[in-house]
Parts: sequence; structure tokens; C-alpha cells
Amino acid sequence: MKLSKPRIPPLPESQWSAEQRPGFEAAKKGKSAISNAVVFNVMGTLGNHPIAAKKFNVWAFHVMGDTSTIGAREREILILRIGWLCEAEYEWAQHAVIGRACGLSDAEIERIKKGPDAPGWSEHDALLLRAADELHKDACISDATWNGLAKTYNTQQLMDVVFAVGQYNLVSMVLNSFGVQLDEGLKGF
Amino acid sequence: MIKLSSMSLGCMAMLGLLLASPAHAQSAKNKSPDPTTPRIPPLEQSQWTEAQAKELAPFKDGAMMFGTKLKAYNVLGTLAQHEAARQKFNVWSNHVMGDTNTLPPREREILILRIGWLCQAEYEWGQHAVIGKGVGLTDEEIARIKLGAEAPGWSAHDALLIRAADELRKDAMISDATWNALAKTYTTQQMMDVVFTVGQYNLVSMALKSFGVQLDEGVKGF
Repeated sequence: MKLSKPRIPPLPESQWSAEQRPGFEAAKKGKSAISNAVVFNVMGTLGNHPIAAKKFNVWAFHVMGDTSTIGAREREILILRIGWLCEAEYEWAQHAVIGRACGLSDAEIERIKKGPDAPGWSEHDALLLRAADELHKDACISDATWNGLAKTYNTQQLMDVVFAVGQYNLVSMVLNSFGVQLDEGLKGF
Repeated sequence: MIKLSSMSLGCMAMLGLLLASPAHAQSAKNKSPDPTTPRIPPLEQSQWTEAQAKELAPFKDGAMMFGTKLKAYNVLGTLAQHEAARQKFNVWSNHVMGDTNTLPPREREILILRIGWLCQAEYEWGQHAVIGKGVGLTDEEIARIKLGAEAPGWSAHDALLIRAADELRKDAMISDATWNALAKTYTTQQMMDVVFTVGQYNLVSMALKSFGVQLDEGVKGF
């Protein structure tokens, strides 16, 4: 972890609103909409700014939900790669669990750290990793990578590639800067 | 003599430009140039739904948004290619640009212009130079955002905002020094909104550049 204790701690239970309570209880038990892992530390931290969290979740559930047009396995490759590049250990730990549930093998998850040139990737998977690398470095996907992806992806899918990486770059900034600590039972890098 | 001094002025201007170029742009010699035509063009008017027509049409000529009259069709029309995403994106985007963001608008715009500059997202810069002027940034301050936190003239607080954006772009994290200094005057929610604002416009920069969104007519770039 970049920070060993939170700069902004999760909202203590005594301060939960009635509206926040069901979501936080589910997150503590590992029964949230997106994961069967405990995700309270991030949700409870965002809970310090309830109106922002509410609006954030609407957009976050585009990227993680069924209006995103890219396959869940492919989405998780993008998210794990940008989380790795940003050194956001909390993001990595949560999405290693989610990625496994979406069909990524342990070997693939480990190989995401090595990047697009590591042996073993399909051409399409390597393009996804390259897209994340280019967005991280240049805030733009190169012509070669764009045109490679556009051979199989439609317009909405290409847009969702950028949205997934951009959103989880934002999430990495949030996790690193607020000092969100790993939830119980989670394994980091 | 006159020639010499104008030459050295030219050199100084070039040096200034070099200094003003973000590290990312300098190191990115091998990357392909940003698209000069859209990769994803704005949705054709003939394809608008009734609801989209109502929302999008006014921005072709300029409509009030964020307290300023803006021509912003090229970005809004491009996002309309993915309507379900656009609707959810707008909810979050309206936190960052709206009245639930706890940062004063002038400070928000310093963050947005700086991350737009670091990402070399000219469309973002063009729009937010107009919005920034509408919320109290001077032309001189807007130009100085390109030079960064060390440029003479910033208040300590403004310099911290610029530094926060720089650190978030480079390390995806605000340093202890910058965080602690900002936290002397900012509340918890304001600290959160600093990161949300920079993160959101880092995402917007990626979208604008990767989709090849072109400047709207009459909007000035860098």
C-alpha cells in the first residue's frame, strides 16, 4: 500500500444515514452488487461525501454494469492493468477477485503485471493491455492500437474501453490519495 | 542590436514553450499524433432521438452551461453515440461541474485546466478556458496554468492545486506535503472533490483525444 493508514477513514457506523446503511452492511458482508468480496473500505470512505458517492455510483455502474458493451473478462483486463500502472493495490486486490469470477485464470492475472508483450496473450488481449498503457502514458490510444481493436469492436465498445480505463484511473487516484486500506481477507499485489 | 535582442527574445520564448511542455508530451516522441479528424464523429442530426434533439441542438450555436454560453456540440454529440453511457456519465459529470462539488468554481477550473494541459487535451482546454474566464480566472492566469506551480504570481493555495493535479497525473496520488497543506484550509469533502475533479477530467481528456473530438467552431485551442 502507498499509505499504511487512511487519510480519510471510512465513515464510522454511528454516522451512517438510513439511506447508506443497507449498502454498507452488504459491502461489509461481501454481498454487494459487484463482488462477493468485502468492499466496505472504499464504499465507507466515499460515504464521507454522500451526494458525490450517489452520483459517482450511477456512472460507476455503467462501467461495471450491464450498459457497458465490452465483455466482463475484457473489462477486468483493462481495470487490472490500469490499477497496476497506477500502483493502486486496493483496486488490484478487489479486481483480482472479480476478474477470477469473470473467467481470468490466476496465471493471466499475474501476467497482466508483465504487460502486452509477455508471451501467452491473444492478439486481442494484448491490444487491450496496450490501450491501457497508452491511455496511462499519453491520455490517448495510438492509431495502431485503435485500428487493431476496431477490427472486432464496434463504436460503443471502443468508447467503453476508454471509459473503463479512465474510470479506474480515477478510482486509483481516489484509493491512493485517500489511503483506502485493504479489506479483511483481500490479498494485495 | 535590435536584431540580436529580438533573437534572444525568440530563444526565450522557445525555452518558455519547452519548459511549459508537460513531461509526458516531451517524452512521447514515438507516439502517433493526436487524431486531426474524428475517429468517432458526433451523431448525425438525422439519427437523433427526440430527447437527444432537445438536449443537443442548442449546443450547435451555443447554449448556457455551467454559467457560460458554450458551443459544445462536438463532445456532446460524440458521447451521444453511446446513449446509455452518456446518461449515466452526465449524472457524475454534473457532480463535478455542478453545485454538489464543494470546491469554489475558480479553484475547480484551475484543476481542470491543469490536467487538460498535462494530458494535452486541446478540446478540454478550449472549453474550460471559456468557463474559467466566466468564473473569475484572468487571461493571464489561464496562460500561466501552462507554466505550472512554480511560475511567479500564484498564491500558495493556487500553487497547491496545480501541484495536486501534477502529482495525480504522474503518480495517481497526492503527496503528503501537498495533501497536508491543502487540508489546512479544505474540509474532507473538498479534499475528495479535488481528486474527483482531476480524475474526472483525466478521463475526459482520454475520451476527447482517443475519440478525436475536434474543436467546435469559434473555440480557440491552446
